[in-house]
Amino acid sequence: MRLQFSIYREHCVEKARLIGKTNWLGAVERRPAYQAAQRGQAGCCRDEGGLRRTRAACKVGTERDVGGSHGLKGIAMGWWRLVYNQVNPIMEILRPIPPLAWIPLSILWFGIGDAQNQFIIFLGMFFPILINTIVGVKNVDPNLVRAARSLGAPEYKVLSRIVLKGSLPQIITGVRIGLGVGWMALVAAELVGANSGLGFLINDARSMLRTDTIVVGMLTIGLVGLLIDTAIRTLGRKFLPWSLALSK
Amino acid sequence: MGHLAIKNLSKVYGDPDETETVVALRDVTFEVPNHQFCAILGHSGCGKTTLLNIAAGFEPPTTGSIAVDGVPIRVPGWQNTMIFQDYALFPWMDVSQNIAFGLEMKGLPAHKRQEFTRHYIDLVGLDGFENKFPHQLSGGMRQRVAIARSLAVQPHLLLMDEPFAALDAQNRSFMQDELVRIWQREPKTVVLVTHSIDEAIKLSDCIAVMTRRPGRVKQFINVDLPRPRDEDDKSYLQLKRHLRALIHEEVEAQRS
Repeated sequence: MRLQFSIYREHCVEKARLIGKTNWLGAVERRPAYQAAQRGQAGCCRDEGGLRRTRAACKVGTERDVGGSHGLKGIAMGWWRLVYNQVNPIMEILRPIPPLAWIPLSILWFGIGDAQNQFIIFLGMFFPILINTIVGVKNVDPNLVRAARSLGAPEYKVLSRIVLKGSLPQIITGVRIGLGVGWMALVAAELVGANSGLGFLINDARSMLRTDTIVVGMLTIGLVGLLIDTAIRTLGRKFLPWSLALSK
Repeated sequence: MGHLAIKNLSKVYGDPDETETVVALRDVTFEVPNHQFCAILGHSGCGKTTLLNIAAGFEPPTTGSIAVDGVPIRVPGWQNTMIFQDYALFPWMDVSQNIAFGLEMKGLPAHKRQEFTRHYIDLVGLDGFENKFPHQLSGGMRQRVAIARSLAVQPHLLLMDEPFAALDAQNRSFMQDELVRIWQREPKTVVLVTHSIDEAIKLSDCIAVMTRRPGRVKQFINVDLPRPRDEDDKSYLQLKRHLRALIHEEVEAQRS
């Protein structure tokens, strides 16, 4: 019954789109690029638009803190074989499930709103950071670890001063990929289960047939994504000047 | 401080109950008196690096004992520190931080660390490079940092695993002279692993020539040539010929 209804609804939406098609094309023609840009500017100036973007960025931001704990988990998994053997099978089963496939469950658990979105971002960021951290830890030059021990470093100092530092470039790569996936997942999660945010904005604009808003929303998503990535890379270069992986 | 005594040391890899075992070292016995420079000379695969790893505390011996001043070596630590062929400098630390690392691990207060670091930077001739990172230095410079870093912790025993193998011939010869100079100013008990006969003669007070696997000490030779060693000296050449014959025997035996 429900399925039938949803198919019916899709049908109606499609029909409406077809009816509006001439209008839609016409709308594009009638609105030159500069007008769309103007609208984008206006959107940025309006508090509402700004708020949406900040909120979206905040969502990814809070998830990055959680991402830090993924890193710790990754270090444990990369360093202690026992931890790896115990945790890895579970991870390998969960990993192939795309974050987007969690959206229905996430909506049921957290309802429509920020908590739901954050859960999806968390899932999107989790595995890239985890796997890159494990690889990073395993790739730390074993001679550096031996050198540190040979200079009298106790085990926890070896971990904090050598293993963590040595795997940081790879962890940053994980964070970059993770943020990319997280950003993607955020927008997707907002498309279906949110009442604010950029994803919501462009989906909302679709139902109003506001192509300009959609395009401006898409460009904003792209720009913010680029900004986040550039910021991380710049920070990486600034704080890890010795890393060959980050220098180019 | 630093009398190294190795007694009946053996190392077997693999499960002793299984047939698939590799005997890396068998019944190695020799002693290096305090503040002497000893070279372990052998063909590749003779277990000389295994011996060094045991001396550094990275691996336990299967049987036998190894001790410095009567204290058995069990774990790695500053007392028996190692210098690696690939330098193993921490790439995220600059020169002075690298040198200070071991001092920090020893728990020295900051002003002491600074004082020691300064002293060893001067000793190895790295003045003006304190704030450079390892990737900004040449191979010879990096090995200087590694030497300073290891000496700074005041080890009882200094182990070197082919420290100059990655350098070009000229640099190597220069660094060997430098090492002798540094060692003469700060005497330490040194065990150096090498496959270069010249390096062994140029640097050491005694040379332990190893057999092919399973590694044993084929001959223990005391070198009492005056320093600095002259490569054209008659007794130098004589010793070189003798060592070459010993190594050659082992290589031939391995082949047949």
